[in-house]
Amino acid sequence: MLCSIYTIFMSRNEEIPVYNRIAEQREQMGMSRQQLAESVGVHYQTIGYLERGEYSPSLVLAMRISEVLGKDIQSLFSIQPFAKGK
Amino acid sequence: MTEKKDNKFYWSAGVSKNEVIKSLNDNGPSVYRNQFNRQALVLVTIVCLIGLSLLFFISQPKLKSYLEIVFLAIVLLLYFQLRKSVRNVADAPDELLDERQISIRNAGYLHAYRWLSAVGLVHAIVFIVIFELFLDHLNWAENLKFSQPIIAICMWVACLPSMVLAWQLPTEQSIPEESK
Repeated sequence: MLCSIYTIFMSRNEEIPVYNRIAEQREQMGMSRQQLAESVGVHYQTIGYLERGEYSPSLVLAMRISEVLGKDIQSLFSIQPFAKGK
Repeated sequence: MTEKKDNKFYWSAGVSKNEVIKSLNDNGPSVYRNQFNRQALVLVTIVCLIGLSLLFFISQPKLKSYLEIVFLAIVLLLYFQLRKSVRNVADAPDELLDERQISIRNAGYLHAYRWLSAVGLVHAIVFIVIFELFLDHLNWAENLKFSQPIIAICMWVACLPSMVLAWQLPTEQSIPEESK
């Protein structure tokens, strides 16, 4: 019973995951999470959450990250998993 | 010097700009980085808040007053620890947070409101019904005024947003690992 009460009170809609290549691109550019975070104006933990796919960015944040990493938004973010090596 | 001058205090949130910035950028070790420890803190707070409400049923006024001071002091201490455990995210204004932090804070307030409605309902049932059924000779409206359950509900209101976040947020990655 307690479990069902907990589920009702803490329930959340599952978000559609947004896949990204932030970590790959950031490492290629030799940037730390801290540096990227400062460039786009977020906390460094937020970059960690994004890279692990635990948070989907707003369009504005996605565009800022694309700009800093010098990539098109489509090549950095997708709602389909990226094919390996592509 | 400049930092001190710029230190704005947000009265509605009960936090200062420097306090929030310092806690968000705190990379030092803390027991509160771990979700299990934060959940333990939440459970201790719940027990103390329930204890504060139940003091109402103690009949000796002197003992009741002493215990009330002790419980209130403990709950206030726990309240500040809860805020610290979630890096003040539950209380910080939008301008000091990024979009993810704003999003988790807002979701936390939704859950906190749901829990608060449950806490309020339980208090209403327990205290009003018990009065009506068993303590009918007492004037419950008069007795409940400024009493422990009312104080406890005020503390629930203050603590719940931080309690929800402290319970939900996952264990933080180690700082060097995260900022690499």
